[in-house]
Amino acid sequence: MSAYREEVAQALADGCRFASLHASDQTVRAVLMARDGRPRLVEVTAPDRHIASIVDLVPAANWDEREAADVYGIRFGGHEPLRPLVDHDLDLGSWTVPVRGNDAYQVAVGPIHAGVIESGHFRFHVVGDRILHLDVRLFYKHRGLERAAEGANPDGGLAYAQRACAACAVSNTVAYAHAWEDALGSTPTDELARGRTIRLELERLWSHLNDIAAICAGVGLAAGNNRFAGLTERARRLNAALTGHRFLFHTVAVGGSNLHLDADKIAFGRAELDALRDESRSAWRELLFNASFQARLPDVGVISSEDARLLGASQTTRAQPVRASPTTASRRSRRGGPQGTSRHDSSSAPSSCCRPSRSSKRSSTGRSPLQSRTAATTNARSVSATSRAHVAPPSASSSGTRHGSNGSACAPAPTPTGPSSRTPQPETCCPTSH
Amino acid sequence: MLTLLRDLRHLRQTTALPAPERGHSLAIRHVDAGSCNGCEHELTLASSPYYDLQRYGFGIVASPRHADILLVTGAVTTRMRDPLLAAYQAMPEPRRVAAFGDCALGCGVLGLAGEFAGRLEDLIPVDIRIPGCPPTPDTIAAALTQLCDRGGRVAQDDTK
Repeated sequence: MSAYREEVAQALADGCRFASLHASDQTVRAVLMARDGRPRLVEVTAPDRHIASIVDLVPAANWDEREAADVYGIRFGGHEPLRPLVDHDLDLGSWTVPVRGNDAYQVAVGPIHAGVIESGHFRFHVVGDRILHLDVRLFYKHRGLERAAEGANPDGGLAYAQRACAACAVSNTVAYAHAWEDALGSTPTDELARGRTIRLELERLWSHLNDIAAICAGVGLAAGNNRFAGLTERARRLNAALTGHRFLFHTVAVGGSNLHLDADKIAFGRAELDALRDESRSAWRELLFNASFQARLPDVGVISSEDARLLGASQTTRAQPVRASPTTASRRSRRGGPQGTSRHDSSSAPSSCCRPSRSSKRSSTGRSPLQSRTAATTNARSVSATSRAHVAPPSASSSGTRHGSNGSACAPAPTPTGPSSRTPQPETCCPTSH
Repeated sequence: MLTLLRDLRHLRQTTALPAPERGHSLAIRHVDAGSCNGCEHELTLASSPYYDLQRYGFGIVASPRHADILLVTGAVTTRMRDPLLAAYQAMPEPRRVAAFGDCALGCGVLGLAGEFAGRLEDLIPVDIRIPGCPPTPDTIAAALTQLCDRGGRVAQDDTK
C-alpha cells in the first residue's frame, strides 16, 4: 500500500469525510474534512503519472479520478475500468457497458432533449419498456472554469464559483469564501455566518420546491407541477425582494457580505416564509395522499445506504453520512438565535459539490418527510435505472472491481431487491438527530 | 387533488393575467449550448401559473422540426456546436433564433477560450436578444410576445 493510500485510509479511520480530489500536472491532492470542518490534505506527486487509486476506499472519488485521468493523463492503478468522464473524443465502447442478449437494444437520447433540460447524452440499454442499464455522457458544456479561475483574486474567483451552477450559486460561493478565509487564517464572525446560513437556506428552499415540481412533471402530474412551480416562483421573488437577485447572485463576498437587510425586508421575508411554509405543506399533503401520484412512484425514492455509499451520493451532495455532519459542527455555520430564519432545525451544507447531472445535483439534509422524501427521490433517479434491472449485463461478473458514480455508467448493478427495498431508509439522507 | 386545483384556480385569479389579444402562437425549442442552468430555471418558470405563457399559444416543443424559434442559452461550447447547428438545420422556414441570456449574447462569458466555439451570432443568425443573467420570466414573456405581435418579423433595433 502506498503512503498516499495509507494516509487517506488513516484519515477515513479518524472519522474524516472525503471532500474532493484535485489534480494539477503530476500532483494529486485528496481533500478530506475532519468532523469539526477542518480540511486535511493528502498529497502525492508522481513524475510518471502513475498513482494508486483510492476508489476502493472512497467510492465518491470516482468522478474526480476520472476527470484527473482525462485532463492530466494520470493513470490510477486499481481503478478499473477507468472510463472517460470529461473526454469526448473516444468511441462508444470506451464509455458504455456492453449489454447483449435477446432483444436488447440501445436508445440514444441527447445531447438536446425534448424538455428544457441541461445538455447530456444518455444511452438506455433496454428490452421493450424495461431499462437494463443506463450509460451517461455529460460535460457537453465543459467551460474549463477551474483552470480559467486559477490565479484569480478573491472577487474574480467568486464570479467563477457563482456561475458554475446557478442553482448552487450560494453554496459554491460560500464554500469558495470559506476556502479563502481559511487560507487567510480568518474565521467569519457569528453575524456573517448567520447571514450566510440565511442565504443558503433561501437557496435550499427554492431548490426543494423546484425539485418537487420536477418530480410531479416527471410523472405527468400537471397540477402538482404547476402548484410547486408557483411556489418556486414565489420563493425566487422573495430572493429578489431580499437581495436584488432571484438566484441570490452577488450576495456573498470573501471576508464580508453583500447582503444588507433592513427591518422592513426582514419583516417581509418572515411573512413570506410563513406563507410559503403553510402553502407548501398543504400542497405536499395533497401529494402524499393522492393515490394517483403515489401510484406513479413505484421504487422511486428508494436508495439503500450501501447504494448511496457506492454512488458517492452521501458525500458528493448535500446529504450527509450517518455520522455527525462536519458542517453542522462547523465553527463556520450558524443557525437559530434571534435572527435565524430557520424554524425547522434543518442543516445546510456549505460544502455542497455541484455536479452537472440533474439527478445528482440536489439532496436534502432536512428531517421533515417532505424534504427527506424529495432528496431520496431526486437522488435515486439515476440509481433506479440500474436497480430495476433484472438482467445483469454480461460483464456484471466483474462488477466487484467497478466503482459507482452519480448517474454514471459503472455503478455495479445491485441485485434485485425484495419488498424491503420499497421502504425508504431515512438514515441515508438525514443527519443524526441531536 | 381538489385542493391543488383549488389553489391553482386561486393563483390564477390573484395573478390576474390579462387574456391574450390575438390568436398567434409560437413553437419554441430550447438548446442549452453551455449555460449554468440559470436560464433554464427561469425559462421553466415562464410556464408557471404566474406567467403561464401557454395562454398565448407559446409551447416548448420536443423537436426543432416542430419549432418556429430556437432559444439558445449559454456561450456555445465546442462540444455543443455541432448539436446546435444540427438543431438549427432541422428547423423549418421561417425560423427565428433568440440569444437567450448574457452568455449567449457574448457578455461576460467565463471559461477557457479554447472550450468555446465562438460567438453564437457568428455560428447562426440571431434574430432577437433577451438580455439578463439570467433573464427574468418577465423579460422572457415580453420578448416572446413582442416577436409574436410583430408576426415573427424582427424589429430593426433587434438586428443590430
